[in-house]
Amino acid sequence: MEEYFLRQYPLFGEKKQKSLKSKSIAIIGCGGLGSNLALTLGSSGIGKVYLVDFDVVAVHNIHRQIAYRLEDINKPKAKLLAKILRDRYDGVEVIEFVGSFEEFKKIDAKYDVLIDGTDNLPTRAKLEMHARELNIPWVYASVEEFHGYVCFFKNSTFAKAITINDRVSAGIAPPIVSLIASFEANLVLRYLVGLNTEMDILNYLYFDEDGIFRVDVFQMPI
Amino acid sequence: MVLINFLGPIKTTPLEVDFVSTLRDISEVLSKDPYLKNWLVDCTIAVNDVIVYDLETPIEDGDIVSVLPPVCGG
Repeated sequence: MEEYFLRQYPLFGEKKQKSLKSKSIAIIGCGGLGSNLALTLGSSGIGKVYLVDFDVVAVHNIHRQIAYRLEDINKPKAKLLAKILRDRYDGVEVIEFVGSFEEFKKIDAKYDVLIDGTDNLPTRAKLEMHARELNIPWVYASVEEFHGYVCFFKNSTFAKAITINDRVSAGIAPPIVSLIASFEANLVLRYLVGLNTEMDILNYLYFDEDGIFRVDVFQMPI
Repeated sequence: MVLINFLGPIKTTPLEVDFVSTLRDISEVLSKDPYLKNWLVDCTIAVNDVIVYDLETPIEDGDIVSVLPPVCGG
């Protein structure tokens, strides 16, 4: 038994925990969602993690993109994040790709789940198209203000139900980004370890006008 | 009677409407309010907790329509 996962074995059992070693994921976008996703999934026992981002760290990223420090400004996010993952767990193979999703597609990487850590709707539509081509599920998340969506897509179509435009995000603060990314990461981990995972259900997480946190669930059209 | 709920940051109390047979009818009713018309440009709609995207989706008496706001950041 790997001592690193001493607290995880009682949850998953040895067989399931070991099965994660043969799984691989691609996290597209290493910003707010992506850095949270990578930190929790990268140390869960998943064997291989692709990290994709074309961008470098800007000072206004750091408040919510929790992997980065002030000294990281102007350095490529995917590279920085990959180093953190390797430093936190030496049993994970991390492959960073500093470039666009379009460029990443060309290297023909193979992975089990495509994970959305992007910040715009047109790229998410491209993620969905590529997941369909690879015949793998993809997990969508978006977040701003005090609300966000998460959906594990297997058969349903994101691009049909969500208006794809170049809308710019409203304001955003760190804790809601971590919350939405954590929910997204939980769905990925449950799926990869073989536990029941909701599919094609759109979760809308928000604070209502009384300040009560709610999760409303909607069936996506198949 | 059809109940329309507005979620998250859409600051409108639930509405009850009559004499509507499709989602397009509901869209026309809501578009009379400039505040809601603005949201309708890129919101997502559910009927009885199922996401729909066709304005010709039939609406029946007793249905519950949810208007979900757009969220794009990450």
